[in-house]
Amino acid sequence: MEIVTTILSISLISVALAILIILAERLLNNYGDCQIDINGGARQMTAKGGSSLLSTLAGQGIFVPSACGGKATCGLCKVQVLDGAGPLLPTEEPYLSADERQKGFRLSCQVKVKQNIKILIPEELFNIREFKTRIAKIETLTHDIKGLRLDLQEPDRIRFKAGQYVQLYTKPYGKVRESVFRAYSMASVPSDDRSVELIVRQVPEGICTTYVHQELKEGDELRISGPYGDFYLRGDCDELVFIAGGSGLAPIRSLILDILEKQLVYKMTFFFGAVTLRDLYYLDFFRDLEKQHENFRFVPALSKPLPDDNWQGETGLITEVVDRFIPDGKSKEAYLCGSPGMINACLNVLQTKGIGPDKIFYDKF
Amino acid sequence: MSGAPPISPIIIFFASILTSNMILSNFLGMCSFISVSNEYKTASGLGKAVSLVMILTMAINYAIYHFLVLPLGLEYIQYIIYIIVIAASVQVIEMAMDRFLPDLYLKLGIFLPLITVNCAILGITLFMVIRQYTFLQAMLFAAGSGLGWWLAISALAAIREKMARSKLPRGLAGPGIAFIITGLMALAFIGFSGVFAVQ
Amino acid sequence: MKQSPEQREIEENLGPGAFSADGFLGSDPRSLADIIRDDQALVKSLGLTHQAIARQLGALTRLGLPGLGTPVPYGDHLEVIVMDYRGFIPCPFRDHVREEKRLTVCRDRLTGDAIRWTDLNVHMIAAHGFYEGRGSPFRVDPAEVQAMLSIQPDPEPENSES
Repeated sequence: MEIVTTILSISLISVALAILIILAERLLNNYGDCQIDINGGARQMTAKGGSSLLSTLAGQGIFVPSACGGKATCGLCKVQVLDGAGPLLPTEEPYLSADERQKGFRLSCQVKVKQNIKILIPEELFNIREFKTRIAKIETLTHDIKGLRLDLQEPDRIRFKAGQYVQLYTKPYGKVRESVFRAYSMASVPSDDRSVELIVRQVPEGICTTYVHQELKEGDELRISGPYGDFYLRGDCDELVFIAGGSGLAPIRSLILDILEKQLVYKMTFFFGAVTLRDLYYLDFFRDLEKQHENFRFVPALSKPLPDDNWQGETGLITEVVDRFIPDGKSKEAYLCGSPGMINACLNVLQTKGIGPDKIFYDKF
Repeated sequence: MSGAPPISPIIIFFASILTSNMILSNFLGMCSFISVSNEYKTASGLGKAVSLVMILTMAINYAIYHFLVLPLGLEYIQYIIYIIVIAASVQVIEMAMDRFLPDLYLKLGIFLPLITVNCAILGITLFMVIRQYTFLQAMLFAAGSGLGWWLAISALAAIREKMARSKLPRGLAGPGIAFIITGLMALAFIGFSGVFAVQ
Repeated sequence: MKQSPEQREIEENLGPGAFSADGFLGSDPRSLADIIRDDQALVKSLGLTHQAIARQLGALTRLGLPGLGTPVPYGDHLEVIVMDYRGFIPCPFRDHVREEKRLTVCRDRLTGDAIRWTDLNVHMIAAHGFYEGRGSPFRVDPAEVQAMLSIQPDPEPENSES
């Protein structure tokens, strides 16, 4: 008899407590619907709470730029939150200056939407759309670089400035269980508005680049969003200096072709640097361009060409080559795209030539 | 067992903070006490969490003792029942903390679920049973014990933060000096003994 | 044993598909704590510390940086090549550190042997004593490093780390 009472009473108590826990979870972990007020009431939306501000906004069709996919390492997703964000998290601190914190700037990938929230975002963000695309062509450009041509399906047109980038969304594959997104500059011209061309270099162990290089096939569907970025032509000068390395050629190609198409009057020099010949691509394309346009000069350079390369062009580090070709900083603007090491080295060279930091442009992430 | 002790609940409240402090007189609840007392803010947060759990579980366990254990004669499994209740309450409080105090939730980390095995919490329930407290006595006892635990851990954390700048012998850093400080605090609190009585 | 949310997050971060395509643990069956403990013993048996190794690797990376991908000679028969990529990778140990994606390769010109490491490796070695699991594409093996670089042990430290 005692056994029955024991079992019954403990079971009953456990059930009662389990119900209590379930109720508590419903109440506490369910954040319910939250109101998001944008730009002082210009736009209002209701969304389910519990996710980051970045993904909540994306779910509502507003795309805040992010290069790292929400891991708090790029600092691009800053949004001004007037009310409702909760305390500043330690993951956000390195990216926000004291001034920004005072104005209420937060990393939207770290702020969780738990209650009604009021934010301010720049108008350009409303122009950003999500696109369904189909891969029309995958081209192997070098041993670790692939070129993609994506046909836009829905929406079928994109409006952007030459030099801007898009975000590419992967699907789970292999051991990667989640979808990630990363930023890639567009290599195509704005006038080619029904397609987007990207140049993607394989990063060792990179989740997105491995997806692009190993999983994608022509005909596959791919989701992108854009356009993003502050890297576009200012043009308040007579001469333009372009420097690129690796996949950094993409936005430079877009800028150059756009300028030539619009027949803008600039003297342009394009430095494309690599170590050996196998890392260069589109050589013939740019050499032809040089022949067709007398205001465009193409300077490919190898820092350590192999004997088999039979390299006839410039040799030396890209900084040395730039140093040789650029006499001074008079009326020039410089646009750089490539690895951080290359960009830092070129910044130094350009500044010694007299091109001020306000005349040098590059994506800072 | 005799009936409830003829002590005013208010006296029990103060006694459980000062003269019968859970940590300093009864030495219950030591593991998280020593481990989480490095930083004042975290320690204080944990102290408040423990107090909440104590009050919540005392209420539930009191009801269970008087309406389930005694009528049905379940004394032989009452310990198990109390532990189940404590585990469930800690789960609920964890969820509430994750929602309302996410910083603290992350900082406390594993020590939040470890509150379940904090002997002080089971201890106060068992004291309630042994001393046959009335409901009011039990609740004020729980509140006072919680406050006392919070007081002790906050004091230790504050002292340890100051000690961070002192030159300690290498072997004593961390738990070593924490125990010595606790012992000294306990000695000081002995000065209170005899002022109030809990049982 | 219930893990704290932080511990759980770190182990997830170290697995494949989270911060890197193949993860940081490779095919290693040991737990994270065991990997770190065993490497700690190995480093000690070589007469070195994590700091000494990290410092030497970092110094070589700085040496190779100006090369922008071309080999920079080091010593009699070694050369260092540094390649970097855009973007940052956060440290999977959630200590709010992020490193640039920089890969350094140190080659012995005579034998053709090479060891390689990333900036993130250097940080994880110095801050967490983590050299990555066996089978991980970017495991930095202390014995291989010592064989190639012959790192000098630090002078007698004032306070050792455990």
